[in-house]
Amino acid sequence: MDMALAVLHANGAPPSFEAVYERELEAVWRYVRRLGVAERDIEDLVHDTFVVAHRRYDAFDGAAPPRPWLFGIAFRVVAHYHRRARVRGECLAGDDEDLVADPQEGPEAALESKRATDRLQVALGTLPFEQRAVFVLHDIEERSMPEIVTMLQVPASTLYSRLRLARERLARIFRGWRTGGDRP
Amino acid sequence: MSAHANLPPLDPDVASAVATERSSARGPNRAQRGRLRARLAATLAVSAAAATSAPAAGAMLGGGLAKPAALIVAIALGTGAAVGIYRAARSPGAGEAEATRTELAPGTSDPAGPAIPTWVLERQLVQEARAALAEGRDLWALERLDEHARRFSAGLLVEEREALRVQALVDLGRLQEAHAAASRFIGTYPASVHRDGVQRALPPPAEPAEGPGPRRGSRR
Repeated sequence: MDMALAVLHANGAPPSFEAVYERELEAVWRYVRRLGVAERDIEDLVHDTFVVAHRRYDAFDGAAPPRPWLFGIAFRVVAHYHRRARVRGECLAGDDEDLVADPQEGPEAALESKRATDRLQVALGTLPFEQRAVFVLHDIEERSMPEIVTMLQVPASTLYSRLRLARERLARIFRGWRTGGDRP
Repeated sequence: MSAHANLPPLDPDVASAVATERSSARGPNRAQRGRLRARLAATLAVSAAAATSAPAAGAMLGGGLAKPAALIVAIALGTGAAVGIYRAARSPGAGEAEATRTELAPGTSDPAGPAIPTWVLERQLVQEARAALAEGRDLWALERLDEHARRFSAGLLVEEREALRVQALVDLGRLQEAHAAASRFIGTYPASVHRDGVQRALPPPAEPAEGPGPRRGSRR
């Protein structure tokens, strides 16, 4: 995917917005979900992200890969969504399905895999949004720290500190599950 | 860098859950893809059509636009007219939000592409802003209002737009701007039917002792 875009860049022609949308939709969708957006709201926020991106597309550096740029926009759209939900006292996570599976039961592999991601979602849900965003970008999306600095416009030292706190907290939670302790 | 050196490694169970998440995370399903594309096409078509002073929809799809919106529109709809875009967004599968978002498909339409009247585009933007406010997407609401202001600085719905702007600013917590917008509104439209609504949207003054509040009107 990125290679196809790289070819376009090599020819000197930036990809069309349409091409960027086609290539990046899935990644943006997953990223928005990983940032803790309720299932019912993902479509709205992805829509908003691409409309903002379209408006700014003329200013986008066509030689750069579009994903970090889109993630930067999506981050701000989702940050506002969470801020707004906090003000309204809404519960966003865990309202679509029962994400908190009992870690003690069920041997099936599919269920196990679902449980692993559900547990991760539950654990991520306990993180402050800023920590969650860095963890998602660095440890799930595998973005480099310099890229994340550009995306979030936050100094690297702050991001490292947030990532450290996030990893420590997640480790504590998973350790608790390992030893048969309580849910977070 | 010391911050980097202090980074603890990923807990093995967390790492394994992360690996599963990476390999199993779902993107949008077919229905979501179709709906999203139709919505996006409708939103971008409105912006693009407004940017070119409401051209005939056929011309808009014919490649006369420099804006990439034409591409999305064309691909989403083949040779359909912009009114078709609105229909697509309003189709039964389009979800509840659309019902409030777009209600402007002209009743009778020539599929060959009648011109989109300016007021339709104006109304679309203002309705989108209102729907976004109702859903708590204030930033998006403000974006739509700004878009309306850019395209229709002297439009038919300026009064409604500026009333909604006060609400959006209040919801965003930008109270200083909200007060300024409210006093501008009341100064410009002293007899507006939206006047009470604008005044009610403003939160009550916090500290009567401190606030000079020369612009504060009586409320309720």
